[in-house]
Amino acid sequence: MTLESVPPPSSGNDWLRAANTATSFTSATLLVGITGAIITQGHDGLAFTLGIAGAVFLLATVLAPLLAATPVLTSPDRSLPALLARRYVSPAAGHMASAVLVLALTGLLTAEITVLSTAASSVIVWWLSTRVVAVALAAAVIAALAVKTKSPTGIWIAAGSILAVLAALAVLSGHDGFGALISLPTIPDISALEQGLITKHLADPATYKPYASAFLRTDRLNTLALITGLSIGMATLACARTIGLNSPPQSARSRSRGALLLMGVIIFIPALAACARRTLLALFADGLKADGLPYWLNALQTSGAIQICGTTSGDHAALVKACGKSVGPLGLMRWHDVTFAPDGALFSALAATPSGTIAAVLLVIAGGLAALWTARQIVTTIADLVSPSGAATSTGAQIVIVAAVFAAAGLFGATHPAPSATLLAWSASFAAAGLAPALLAAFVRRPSRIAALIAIPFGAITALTLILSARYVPLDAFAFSSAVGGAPPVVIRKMGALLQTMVALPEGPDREAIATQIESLARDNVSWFGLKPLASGVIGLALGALVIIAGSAAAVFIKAGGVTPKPPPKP
Amino acid sequence: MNLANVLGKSLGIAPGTALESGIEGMRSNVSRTMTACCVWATLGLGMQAFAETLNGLRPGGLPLGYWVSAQGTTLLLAAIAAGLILGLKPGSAQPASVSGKGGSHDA
Repeated sequence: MTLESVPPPSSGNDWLRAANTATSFTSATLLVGITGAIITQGHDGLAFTLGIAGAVFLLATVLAPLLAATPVLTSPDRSLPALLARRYVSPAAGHMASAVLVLALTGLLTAEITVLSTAASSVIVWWLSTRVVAVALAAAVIAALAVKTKSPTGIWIAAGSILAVLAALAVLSGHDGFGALISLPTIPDISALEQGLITKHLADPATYKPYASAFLRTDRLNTLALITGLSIGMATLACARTIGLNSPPQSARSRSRGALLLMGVIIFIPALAACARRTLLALFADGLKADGLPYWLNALQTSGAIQICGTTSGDHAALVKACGKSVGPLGLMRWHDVTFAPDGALFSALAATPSGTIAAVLLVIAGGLAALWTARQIVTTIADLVSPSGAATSTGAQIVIVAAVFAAAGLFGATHPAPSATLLAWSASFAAAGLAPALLAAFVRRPSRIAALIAIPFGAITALTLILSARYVPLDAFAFSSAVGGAPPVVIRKMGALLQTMVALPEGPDREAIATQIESLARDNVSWFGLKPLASGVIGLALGALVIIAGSAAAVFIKAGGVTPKPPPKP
Repeated sequence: MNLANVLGKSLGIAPGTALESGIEGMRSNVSRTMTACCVWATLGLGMQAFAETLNGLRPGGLPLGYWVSAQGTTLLLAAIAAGLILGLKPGSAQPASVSGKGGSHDA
């Protein structure tokens, strides 16, 4: 089998296709999940933004021209698995790539549904978030309609998603002033508010971490690994999605435009996070009482997006009682009395203003459309896997697949496995480890087929093992801690005892000390070479690349079989 | 020696073959792309290390280190990527052998 030249695809609306590419980077999850990570983690959360910006850069400058240079893009069976199957002359390579792609996209869909349910709880009705599976199934029906033919519906879904995000940003900038888009007035405001909270004893100077604190100061290895893994993984995933079966043909320039469009959104994420943080700080500075909380904070608390005075119970009496033990000298709540989960942080701030509420509604729309588009990509990948000959999968079968995919992602999301930004990083890590080595080696002259067949599962399984072996044990509703999966029984018992002791203690230095001890034990037992699961992609990626490079070199050196044939000379 | 030629040779790109003809179109852009990637790594990762030092400068009350990390780096990356895209040679975006007409269909 060889790669053949075929006529170029007909051109369509370039900007529509660019929007398609932009949504490949998960627009709503990106905006809500990563903004939330920055709001809650401060400057350290910027690693996510930089990782995605790196992905956009790699797609625009390296992968887009490379993929545009391959004839597979213009062939009828355009898809990443098809490209690998043809390049490595092995249907198995395509099947394995499809499996990796489906798993990575399902992780992404889970992140999107998680964001969607949190968003719904803040702008529609709180109980909707507890019905996340119902939402998922209802959306699945719509998705099934969207995927029933190979019509351009998917492009409009993708375009609608990124347009909704841009509209949300426009609404917010209209409210906060365009200067806020470059953080100019926001950061000084935040510094003043932080100082005010400390002066009024509404924030503990010993534990409060200033918002604009240094980046890359702590845990540099993991931060750099996260940026690298996220960059390569998201670029690979975006490529896979934009050359999917139902995506329109795209050129290098079209993909690059889409990447730049999304980079335009990414630039404003830190500014959005800063505006949200300022709003939240102002809430505390103005005086917040447990018996007079704004309704949206109560709604988000009940849905599990925030924790107030150590409880997520929506019961008013229980809340007042819980806060009665911990509020500050004037009966006002302090900054650390409320814990914002990354996914709920942005909506906690948006709901405080009318324009923020409009933006939140737009983000719900964007999240829904992005989830539909991801489901569509999963279905087309599965359909390609089930029917590689190109025979059309029946509408009924597609509906069953979509419903199953949505239900699985919804059920998984309902267990709150991790914040959406973490799910995003896991998906990218998995895609980077499983697909990137084989994808890049496809452009080498004679890569080894056998090495590729080993590298794809090897890289993917390595990343998955690292993710799953670090089973997440919530120390409380929000402080996720990588824990006991790979630890010996004695460590597991010790950790369990510490956890029980910690839960029984009230908030304070003793509890913090035990939490630190558990973190330390967890890190010693589950991290590989000091890397956390969040950065698992770089290990799988490195091992997968090593297998392909060493295997191809060995195959050529010993003239063994399994080396892909030289492409035929040009007539 | 031209870096593009060295890399092209090491990749084993044989001029005039079906797949490789597409890659061949890129060879003249390899140096530029690699340089851009190096700049990305330097700006994206290297500049962050100096964030704390740069925070000493506060134009308009905004800590410069924060701004460079949060938005400045991304803005520069976007500028570099845009420059590269505008400078893409047509042959690298779509090779002649694929389009069949010797030109790009994506311009």
